[in-house]
Amino acid sequence: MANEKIKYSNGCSPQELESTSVRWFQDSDVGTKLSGSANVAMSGGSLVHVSPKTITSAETTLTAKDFIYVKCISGDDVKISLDNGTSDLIRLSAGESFASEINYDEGNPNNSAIVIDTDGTSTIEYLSGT
Amino acid sequence: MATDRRVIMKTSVLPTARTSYAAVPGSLEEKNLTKAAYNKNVISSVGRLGGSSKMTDITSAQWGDGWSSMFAPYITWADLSDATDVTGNRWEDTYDRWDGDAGITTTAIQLSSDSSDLQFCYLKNTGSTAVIISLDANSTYPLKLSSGASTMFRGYSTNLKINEVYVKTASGTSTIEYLIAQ
Repeated sequence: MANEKIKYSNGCSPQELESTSVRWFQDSDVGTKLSGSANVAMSGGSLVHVSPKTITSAETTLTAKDFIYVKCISGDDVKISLDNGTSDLIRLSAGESFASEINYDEGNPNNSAIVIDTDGTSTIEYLSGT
Repeated sequence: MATDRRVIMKTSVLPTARTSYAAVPGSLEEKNLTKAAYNKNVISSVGRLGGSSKMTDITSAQWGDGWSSMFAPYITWADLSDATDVTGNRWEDTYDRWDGDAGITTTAIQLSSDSSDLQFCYLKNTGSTAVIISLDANSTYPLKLSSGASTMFRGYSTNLKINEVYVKTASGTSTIEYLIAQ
Protein backbone atom coordinates (compact mmCIF):
# COMPACT_ATOMS: atom_id res chain seq x y z
CA MET A 1 0.00 0.00 0.00
CA ALA A 2 1.36 3.40 -0.89
CA ASN A 3 1.19 6.80 0.77
CA GLU A 4 1.87 5.62 4.29
CA LYS A 5 2.08 8.31 6.93
CA ILE A 6 2.92 8.16 10.59
CA LYS A 7 1.41 10.54 13.09
CA TYR A 8 3.49 10.54 16.23
CA SER A 9 3.66 12.52 19.42
CA ASN A 10 6.01 12.66 22.36
CA GLY A 11 5.02 14.42 25.53
CA CYS A 12 6.45 14.78 28.98
CA SER A 13 5.42 16.30 32.27
CA PRO A 14 8.38 17.37 34.44
CA GLN A 15 7.42 17.26 38.11
CA GLU A 16 8.98 18.46 41.34
CA LEU A 17 8.40 17.15 44.85
CA GLU A 18 7.39 19.92 47.25
CA SER A 19 9.47 20.54 50.35
CA THR A 20 7.48 18.35 52.77
CA SER A 21 7.91 15.41 50.36
CA VAL A 22 4.18 14.73 50.18
CA ARG A 23 2.95 15.96 46.81
CA TRP A 24 4.31 16.26 43.29
CA PHE A 25 3.73 19.50 41.36
CA GLN A 26 4.55 20.74 37.89
CA ASP A 27 8.28 21.51 37.90
CA SER A 28 8.77 25.15 38.88
CA ASP A 29 11.74 25.55 36.52
CA VAL A 30 9.81 24.42 33.45
CA GLY A 31 6.35 25.64 34.32
CA THR A 32 4.41 23.60 31.77
CA LYS A 33 3.74 20.21 30.27
CA LEU A 34 5.53 19.68 26.97
CA SER A 35 4.40 17.88 23.83
CA GLY A 36 4.78 17.91 20.10
CA SER A 37 3.37 15.96 17.19
CA ALA A 38 3.79 15.64 13.45
CA ASN A 39 2.30 13.66 10.59
CA VAL A 40 5.18 12.53 8.41
CA ALA A 41 5.03 10.80 5.04
CA MET A 42 7.16 7.74 4.38
CA SER A 43 9.25 8.14 1.24
CA GLY A 44 9.00 4.51 0.16
CA GLY A 45 5.48 3.77 1.35
CA SER A 46 6.54 0.86 3.51
CA LEU A 47 5.87 0.05 7.16
CA VAL A 48 7.33 -2.89 9.09
CA HIS A 49 5.78 -3.75 12.43
CA VAL A 50 7.22 -6.49 14.65
CA SER A 51 5.56 -7.37 17.96
CA PRO A 52 6.30 -9.04 20.25
CA LYS A 53 9.89 -10.10 19.79
CA THR A 54 12.18 -11.49 22.49
CA ILE A 55 15.81 -10.48 22.12
CA THR A 56 18.91 -11.55 24.04
CA SER A 57 21.53 -9.73 21.99
CA ALA A 58 21.91 -7.13 19.26
CA GLU A 59 19.63 -8.78 16.76
CA THR A 60 18.06 -6.07 14.74
CA THR A 61 19.67 -3.57 12.41
CA LEU A 62 17.43 -1.08 10.67
CA THR A 63 18.93 0.98 7.86
CA ALA A 64 17.63 3.56 5.43
CA LYS A 65 14.59 4.35 7.57
CA ASP A 66 12.51 7.52 7.70
CA PHE A 67 11.02 6.72 11.09
CA ILE A 68 11.59 4.37 14.00
CA TYR A 69 9.50 3.45 17.02
CA VAL A 70 10.82 1.01 19.64
CA LYS A 71 9.08 -0.09 22.83
CA CYS A 72 10.47 -2.20 25.65
CA ILE A 73 7.41 -4.24 26.54
CA SER A 74 9.00 -6.14 29.42
CA GLY A 75 12.24 -7.60 30.75
CA ASP A 76 15.66 -6.01 31.03
CA ASP A 77 16.48 -2.56 29.73
CA VAL A 78 16.74 -2.09 25.97
CA LYS A 79 19.58 -0.05 24.51
CA ILE A 80 19.52 1.62 21.11
CA SER A 81 22.45 2.54 18.91
CA LEU A 82 22.08 5.07 16.10
CA ASP A 83 25.45 4.32 14.49
CA ASN A 84 25.28 0.65 13.52
CA GLY A 85 26.05 -0.63 17.03
CA THR A 86 29.22 1.34 17.72
CA SER A 87 27.78 3.10 20.77
CA ASP A 88 24.56 2.44 22.67
CA LEU A 89 23.13 5.86 23.43
CA ILE A 90 19.46 5.45 24.37
CA ARG A 91 17.95 3.42 27.21
CA LEU A 92 14.39 2.09 27.44
CA SER A 93 13.06 0.47 30.59
CA ALA A 94 9.94 -1.71 30.61
CA GLY A 95 6.94 0.26 29.36
CA GLU A 96 8.96 3.02 27.76
CA SER A 97 9.16 3.75 24.06
CA PHE A 98 11.22 5.88 21.71
CA ALA A 99 9.84 7.43 18.53
CA SER A 100 11.63 9.74 16.12
CA GLU A 101 12.17 10.55 12.50
CA ILE A 102 15.51 9.37 11.19
CA ASN A 103 17.83 11.57 9.17
CA TYR A 104 18.95 8.85 6.80
CA ASP A 105 22.53 9.45 5.68
CA GLU A 106 22.61 8.17 2.12
CA GLY A 107 26.33 8.84 1.80
CA ASN A 108 27.19 6.82 4.89
CA PRO A 109 24.31 4.53 5.94
CA ASN A 110 26.14 3.40 9.10
CA ASN A 111 25.72 6.93 10.44
CA SER A 112 21.98 6.35 10.75
CA ALA A 113 21.73 2.55 11.13
CA ILE A 114 19.71 1.61 14.20
CA VAL A 115 20.61 -1.43 16.31
CA ILE A 116 18.33 -2.60 19.10
CA ASP A 117 20.11 -4.46 21.90
CA THR A 118 19.38 -5.51 25.47
CA ASP A 119 21.02 -5.72 28.88
CA GLY A 120 19.78 -9.32 29.22
CA THR A 121 16.49 -10.62 27.89
CA SER A 122 13.82 -8.21 26.70
CA THR A 123 10.52 -8.37 24.86
CA ILE A 124 10.25 -5.51 22.41
CA GLU A 125 7.98 -4.06 19.75
CA TYR A 126 9.17 -1.91 16.90
CA LEU A 127 7.81 -0.10 13.88
CA SER A 128 9.97 1.21 11.10
CA GLY A 129 8.89 3.31 8.16
CA THR A 130 10.56 3.81 4.83
CA MET B 1 17.19 23.21 45.13
CA ALA B 2 14.26 20.98 44.44
CA THR B 3 13.49 18.19 46.95
CA ASP B 4 13.20 15.68 44.10
CA ARG B 5 12.38 15.60 40.40
CA ARG B 6 10.78 13.15 37.98
CA VAL B 7 9.37 13.14 34.45
CA ILE B 8 6.16 11.50 33.25
CA MET B 9 6.77 10.34 29.66
CA LYS B 10 4.20 9.40 27.03
CA THR B 11 4.59 8.44 23.38
CA SER B 12 1.88 7.79 20.81
CA VAL B 13 2.35 6.49 17.25
CA LEU B 14 -0.45 6.13 14.71
CA PRO B 15 0.44 4.70 11.28
CA THR B 16 -2.00 5.50 8.50
CA ALA B 17 -2.29 4.43 4.89
CA ARG B 18 -4.12 6.01 1.97
CA THR B 19 -6.90 3.81 0.67
CA SER B 20 -8.67 4.35 -2.63
CA TYR B 21 -12.44 4.09 -2.72
CA ALA B 22 -14.28 3.45 -5.99
CA ALA B 23 -16.95 5.70 -7.37
CA VAL B 24 -20.47 5.01 -6.09
CA PRO B 25 -23.19 5.59 -8.71
CA GLY B 26 -26.87 5.90 -7.93
CA SER B 27 -29.65 8.38 -7.46
CA LEU B 28 -33.05 8.83 -5.85
CA GLU B 29 -35.96 10.62 -7.47
CA GLU B 30 -35.00 13.96 -5.90
CA LYS B 31 -31.38 13.44 -4.96
CA ASN B 32 -28.22 12.40 -6.73
CA LEU B 33 -26.23 9.98 -4.54
CA THR B 34 -23.40 9.54 -7.01
CA LYS B 35 -20.02 9.82 -5.38
CA ALA B 36 -16.77 10.15 -7.29
CA ALA B 37 -13.76 7.99 -6.56
CA TYR B 38 -11.76 9.31 -3.63
CA ASN B 39 -8.78 8.62 -1.41
CA LYS B 40 -8.75 8.66 2.36
CA ASN B 41 -6.11 8.10 5.00
CA VAL B 42 -7.19 5.34 7.36
CA ILE B 43 -5.50 3.72 10.31
CA SER B 44 -3.29 0.90 9.08
CA SER B 45 -3.63 -2.66 10.31
CA VAL B 46 -0.89 -1.96 12.83
CA GLY B 47 -3.19 0.19 14.96
CA ARG B 48 -2.16 2.72 17.57
CA LEU B 49 1.16 2.17 19.36
CA GLY B 50 2.78 3.84 22.33
CA GLY B 51 4.25 3.69 25.77
CA SER B 52 4.42 5.64 28.99
CA SER B 53 6.44 5.67 32.15
CA LYS B 54 7.35 7.57 35.29
CA MET B 55 11.05 8.29 34.92
CA THR B 56 12.88 9.06 38.17
CA ASP B 57 16.52 9.02 37.08
CA ILE B 58 16.99 12.78 36.82
CA THR B 59 18.60 14.46 39.82
CA SER B 60 16.95 17.01 42.07
CA ALA B 61 19.84 19.47 41.58
CA GLN B 62 20.29 20.06 37.88
CA TRP B 63 23.57 21.10 36.26
CA GLY B 64 22.30 24.69 35.84
CA ASP B 65 19.25 26.81 35.04
CA GLY B 66 19.80 26.09 31.37
CA TRP B 67 18.55 22.50 31.73
CA SER B 68 15.22 23.92 30.52
CA SER B 69 14.87 26.34 27.64
CA MET B 70 11.69 27.56 29.28
CA PHE B 71 11.79 30.52 31.62
CA ALA B 72 9.11 29.45 34.06
CA PRO B 73 6.61 32.12 35.08
CA TYR B 74 7.56 31.62 38.73
CA ILE B 75 11.11 32.87 38.14
CA THR B 76 11.89 36.51 38.84
CA TRP B 77 14.96 38.69 38.43
CA ALA B 78 15.74 38.08 42.10
CA ASP B 79 16.18 34.38 41.40
CA LEU B 80 19.15 35.11 39.17
CA SER B 81 21.36 35.51 42.20
CA ASP B 82 24.35 33.30 41.42
CA ALA B 83 26.98 35.87 40.49
CA THR B 84 29.70 33.33 39.73
CA ASP B 85 31.32 34.52 36.54
CA VAL B 86 30.48 32.46 33.44
CA THR B 87 29.01 29.47 35.31
CA GLY B 88 26.52 31.44 37.38
CA ASN B 89 23.01 32.40 36.38
CA ARG B 90 23.36 36.14 36.01
CA TRP B 91 21.67 37.56 32.95
CA GLU B 92 24.80 37.35 30.82
CA ASP B 93 25.61 33.81 32.02
CA THR B 94 22.30 32.03 31.80
CA TYR B 95 21.31 29.85 28.88
CA ASP B 96 17.62 30.50 29.53
CA ARG B 97 15.60 31.76 26.58
CA TRP B 98 13.08 34.45 27.41
CA ASP B 99 10.38 32.96 25.19
CA GLY B 100 11.44 29.32 25.69
CA ASP B 101 12.69 28.98 22.12
CA ALA B 102 16.26 28.62 20.95
CA GLY B 103 17.06 29.87 17.46
CA ILE B 104 18.56 27.21 15.18
CA THR B 105 20.47 27.72 11.93
CA THR B 106 22.76 25.61 9.76
CA THR B 107 25.51 26.29 12.30
CA ALA B 108 25.35 23.60 14.98
CA ILE B 109 24.64 24.73 18.53
CA GLN B 110 25.62 22.77 21.62
CA LEU B 111 22.69 22.75 24.04
CA SER B 112 25.02 22.73 27.05
CA SER B 113 28.73 22.47 27.78
CA ASP B 114 28.09 20.42 30.93
CA SER B 115 29.87 17.05 30.85
CA SER B 116 27.49 15.11 33.13
CA ASP B 117 25.83 11.89 31.97
CA LEU B 118 22.60 12.66 30.13
CA GLN B 119 19.62 11.17 31.95
CA PHE B 120 16.79 12.72 29.96
CA CYS B 121 16.38 14.91 26.90
CA TYR B 122 13.24 16.32 25.28
CA LEU B 123 13.38 18.35 22.07
CA LYS B 124 10.56 19.99 20.12
CA ASN B 125 10.83 21.75 16.79
CA THR B 126 8.73 24.87 17.28
CA GLY B 127 9.71 26.37 13.93
CA SER B 128 8.71 25.61 10.37
CA THR B 129 11.93 24.03 9.08
CA ALA B 130 13.12 20.53 10.01
CA VAL B 131 15.97 20.31 12.52
CA ILE B 132 18.53 17.52 12.82
CA ILE B 133 20.09 16.25 16.04
CA SER B 134 23.55 14.94 16.86
CA LEU B 135 24.24 12.75 19.89
CA ASP B 136 27.97 12.39 19.23
CA ALA B 137 29.24 15.94 19.59
CA ASN B 138 28.52 17.33 16.14
CA SER B 139 29.85 14.33 14.19
CA THR B 140 26.73 12.63 12.77
CA TYR B 141 23.09 13.74 12.77
CA PRO B 142 20.91 10.60 12.84
CA LEU B 143 17.71 12.14 14.28
CA LYS B 144 15.35 14.58 12.60
CA LEU B 145 12.32 16.56 13.74
CA SER B 146 9.80 18.00 11.31
CA SER B 147 7.91 21.16 12.16
CA GLY B 148 5.89 20.63 15.33
CA ALA B 149 7.43 17.25 16.14
CA SER B 150 9.14 16.32 19.37
CA THR B 151 11.26 13.44 20.59
CA MET B 152 12.62 12.41 23.96
CA PHE B 153 15.06 9.84 25.23
CA ARG B 154 17.11 8.69 28.20
CA GLY B 155 20.85 8.28 27.93
CA TYR B 156 22.31 4.80 28.25
CA SER B 157 24.80 4.33 31.10
CA THR B 158 27.71 6.78 30.72
CA ASN B 159 27.71 6.60 26.92
CA LEU B 160 25.83 9.85 26.30
CA LYS B 161 26.92 13.13 27.85
CA ILE B 162 24.92 16.34 28.05
CA ASN B 163 27.56 18.23 26.06
CA GLU B 164 27.31 15.78 23.13
CA VAL B 165 23.85 16.96 22.04
CA TYR B 166 23.98 19.38 19.11
CA VAL B 167 21.16 20.72 16.95
CA LYS B 168 21.13 22.45 13.57
CA THR B 169 19.10 22.68 10.38
CA ALA B 170 20.08 21.23 7.01
CA SER B 171 19.03 24.55 5.48
CA GLY B 172 17.14 27.61 6.67
CA THR B 173 16.28 28.56 10.23
CA SER B 174 14.05 27.15 12.91
CA THR B 175 13.45 27.21 16.67
CA ILE B 176 13.36 24.52 19.35
CA GLU B 177 12.36 24.14 22.96
CA TYR B 178 14.13 21.57 25.08
CA LEU B 179 14.88 19.94 28.39
CA ILE B 180 18.30 18.40 28.91
CA ALA B 181 18.78 16.87 32.33
CA GLN B 182 21.43 15.05 34.33
